[in-house]
Amino acid sequence: MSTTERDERLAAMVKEHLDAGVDALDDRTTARLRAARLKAVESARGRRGWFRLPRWVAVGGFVTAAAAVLAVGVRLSDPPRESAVATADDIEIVAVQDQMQLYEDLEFYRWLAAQENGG
Amino acid sequence: MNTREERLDSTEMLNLFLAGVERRAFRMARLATSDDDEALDLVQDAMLAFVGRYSGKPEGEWAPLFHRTLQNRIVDWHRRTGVRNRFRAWFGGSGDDADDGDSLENVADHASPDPAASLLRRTAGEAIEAAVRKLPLRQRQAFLLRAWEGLDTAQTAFAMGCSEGSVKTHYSRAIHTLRDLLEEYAP
Repeated sequence: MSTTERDERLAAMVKEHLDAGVDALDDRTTARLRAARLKAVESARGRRGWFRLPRWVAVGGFVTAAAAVLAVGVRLSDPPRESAVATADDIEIVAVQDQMQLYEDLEFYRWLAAQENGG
Repeated sequence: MNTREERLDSTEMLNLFLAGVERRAFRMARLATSDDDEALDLVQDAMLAFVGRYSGKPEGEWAPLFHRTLQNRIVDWHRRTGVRNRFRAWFGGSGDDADDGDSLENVADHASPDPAASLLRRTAGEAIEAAVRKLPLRQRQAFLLRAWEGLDTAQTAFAMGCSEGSVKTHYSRAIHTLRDLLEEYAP
């Protein structure tokens, strides 16, 4: 018989004895084990009952909600400020008005030069 | 309705899994602690922690995860007991409970002049029980998880929190020790 076979038989013999010990557990120990198991299973039932999402999803959702609340709070607490130029459209209008003034001035300088040349 | 059925199925599967491992888990803890109450506490803690952390994992992963949880608690128990015994020794105590009639079976009997002779006075069952209990903790873990629970090397390494090479070493040493201790009863 090889060493491996002997070792396997030895392991089988020990396993058989350990299995017999499991079968021979007394009623009190068996009942206590059953109570411990039911307590653990009940805790799982309760936990899954109110929340089934993975923990990282719960944490991510909480962080997102907190960030949203913070952003809204900051927005609401910020006093409204009057601004001469509020939007991009306003900037464009102001810029157009400046250009019109430039064109009007050019006409005036052209007329003035013509007067001087003619006079 | 479907969710409720899934939940009931899932918890029932969890119940069946734990029912299948609880007795062997108790025997493992009992071999480590030599005390019924301590062993029951360890198993209950392991069950609650396993359910709290891993019940959402696929069923196929439950066995190594449960045994990892249980073995961690057994190792923690050994550390706590070791520290407590050292403190007792420093303060003049014996290092063991005075009324602990099982104390001699808690530790390896390195001073025994002839283990084979003492084995002859016992039945084969008692000899096997004593031999397994005499194994150092890591060797006993490797042997029980591999030979009794049927975990493979990778699963045993995961449960013990060590490398697969360490598992092979611990298992080989455990077999060697058991072969020596149970020479009289070996098949």
